[in-house]
Amino acid sequence: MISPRKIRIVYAKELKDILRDRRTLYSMILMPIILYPLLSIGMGALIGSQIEKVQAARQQVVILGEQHGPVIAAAIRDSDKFEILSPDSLHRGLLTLAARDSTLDRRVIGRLFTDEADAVPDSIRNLIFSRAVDERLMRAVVRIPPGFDAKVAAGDSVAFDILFDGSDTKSETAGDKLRDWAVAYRDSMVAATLDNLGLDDSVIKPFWINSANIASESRMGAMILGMLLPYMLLILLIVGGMYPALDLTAGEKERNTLETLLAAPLSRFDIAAGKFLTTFTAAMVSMVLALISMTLTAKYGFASMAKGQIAVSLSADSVFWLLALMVPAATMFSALMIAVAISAKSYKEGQSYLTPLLMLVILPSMVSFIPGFELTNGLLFVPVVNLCLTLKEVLMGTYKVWRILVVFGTTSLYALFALYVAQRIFERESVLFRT
Amino acid sequence: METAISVENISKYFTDKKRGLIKAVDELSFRCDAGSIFGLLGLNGAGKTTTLRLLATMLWPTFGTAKVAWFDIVKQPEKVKANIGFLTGNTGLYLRLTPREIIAYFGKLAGMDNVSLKSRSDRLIDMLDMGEFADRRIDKLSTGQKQKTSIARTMIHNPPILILDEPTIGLDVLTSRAIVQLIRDAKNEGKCVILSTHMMHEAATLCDEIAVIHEGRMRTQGTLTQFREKYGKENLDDIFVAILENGGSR
Repeated sequence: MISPRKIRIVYAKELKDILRDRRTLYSMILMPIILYPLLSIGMGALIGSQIEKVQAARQQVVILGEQHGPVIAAAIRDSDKFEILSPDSLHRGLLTLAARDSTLDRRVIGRLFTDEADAVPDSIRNLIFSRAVDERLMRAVVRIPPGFDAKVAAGDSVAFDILFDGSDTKSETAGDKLRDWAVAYRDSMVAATLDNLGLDDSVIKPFWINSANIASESRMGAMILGMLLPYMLLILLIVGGMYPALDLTAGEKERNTLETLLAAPLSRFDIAAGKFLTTFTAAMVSMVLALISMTLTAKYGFASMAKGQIAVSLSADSVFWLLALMVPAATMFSALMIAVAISAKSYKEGQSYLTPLLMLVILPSMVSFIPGFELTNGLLFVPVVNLCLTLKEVLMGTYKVWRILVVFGTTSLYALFALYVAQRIFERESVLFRT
Repeated sequence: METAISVENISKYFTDKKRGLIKAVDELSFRCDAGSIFGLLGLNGAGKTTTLRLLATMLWPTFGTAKVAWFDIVKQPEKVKANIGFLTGNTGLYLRLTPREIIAYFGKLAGMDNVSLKSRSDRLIDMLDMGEFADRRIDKLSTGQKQKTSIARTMIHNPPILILDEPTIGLDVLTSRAIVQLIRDAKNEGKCVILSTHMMHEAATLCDEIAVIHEGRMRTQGTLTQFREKYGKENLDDIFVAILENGGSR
């Protein structure tokens, strides 16, 4: 027998109960509001400043064979972009290393610093220099081969080697900067040669390349939001509802209060419905709070991060469709969490059951990060993936109403099925009295 | 006297992965009258809790049925629940609510209107001397105060039948006294009380009639005087052991 009045009584009591718990306040209210903005701004600022730091820093570079190209070597020094270390210091450092590490051969190391360096196989050379990067002896090596100046003067083409370790951020930056510098230096040599011949720059530059990003600021903002928000919001539905779902089911078993409720004059359906509605409410509140706080974060946070003043705005239509889609999504997750949590003996056991469920949502939600992964007709029916991709379209304003309705419909069907399962589990004596 | 509970051939079987079919309650029949106290006696695992849970409609019988307060436990479970007060020795309470809120919650679930709920709740709080802590959260209360709250919660809708599963287990002397007082008061008010225990002396001091069950089946049923005559023993524990040893014909 279903009694809306009794469901309301249970719902009101459960809400009051969980709202008096500090843990709920953390997971349902404080966390969605505070944590994500802090994280994204904090991380953004940290990454941003770190990148700038690495760019601005002068990386340690060793020039081998300086005597073969004193002009270009001097130009590297003059650029003031690098801290030039002497080959001797690197050599000494490597020998110290070899004393501890028998895989490094002292004679091979010695040869790298002579004109016969080419006799050392590349793989062994790379290994040795990689170790040097690991040990922070230097970040990159420039090698000027014998006869460099002479060949350049004669108009012969000659190699200019830059060695860096891409697995080390600072080394990679040093490599990039060295290449950029070398290209610019070569261009200046070409320009000087052309000038000597009385020719214009346009001889080697028949046209200019202008590439412009024509996306408006709001489109760029929407793209960033579209990538992050669906993922975050779906996870927050789970995180927000997880605590009440656990506390009101497994928690009640653990505290011996469920028995009393089962002996009270209301049906199991009423109990399950009241608990489901409480979980649903918590999930929705969390999600809406996070949406508000993240929109604000995006507006102010991302702007400072990207330095390009990316404007973020959600249209009223987008907000409407987003919230509409969240209703069946929250229903589905809440019912599933209740169904799983009531099966557990204790709060702790429930937590370990719900963690895999969270993973089941996190993994498919990550599709919104995959570039070029779009909502195809087949994917319209895949749970969570369809939601995530539709939410992405809604946020980016590229949605089609019929697709939203299909996803809304399929998600509602899954939600109804989850509700049915939860209700059936609630009827099972072996589950309710499992202690 | 009027019959408040009549149990007819009720059985409850469980299936256990390791042990197979378990007959937790096996064709039990008995009656309890209004204005009397009925004791279910048995060892741990004898089927006492299952029997009481069946009467409280928390479990469904595999076979048979029972009438509790004139309602069938299978056909009208919610009517049954509205007429019982259910309490166990290790009943928990919602830690973040106050006694008054808990009492009100169960009163509302029993369908009471606000006016009668308020007056009944105030009276119970007064009677049980709970005024001092009625608006404090449960997690701040002592065991005795919690037990009083449980009693008030059980009695809020003034049920004609009380189902008490080992109501004094694990409680200190003072707290179990409050429960014993509740049971006596209920009897005097003409309520039917059915309680389970594995302590013979508790059953002896309280119960008008005692049923001893063992492995889900009824061993014997009667008054204490009848038992003393039948087994020729004075000591209650001796009688209990004698019943378990030779009372059965399984």
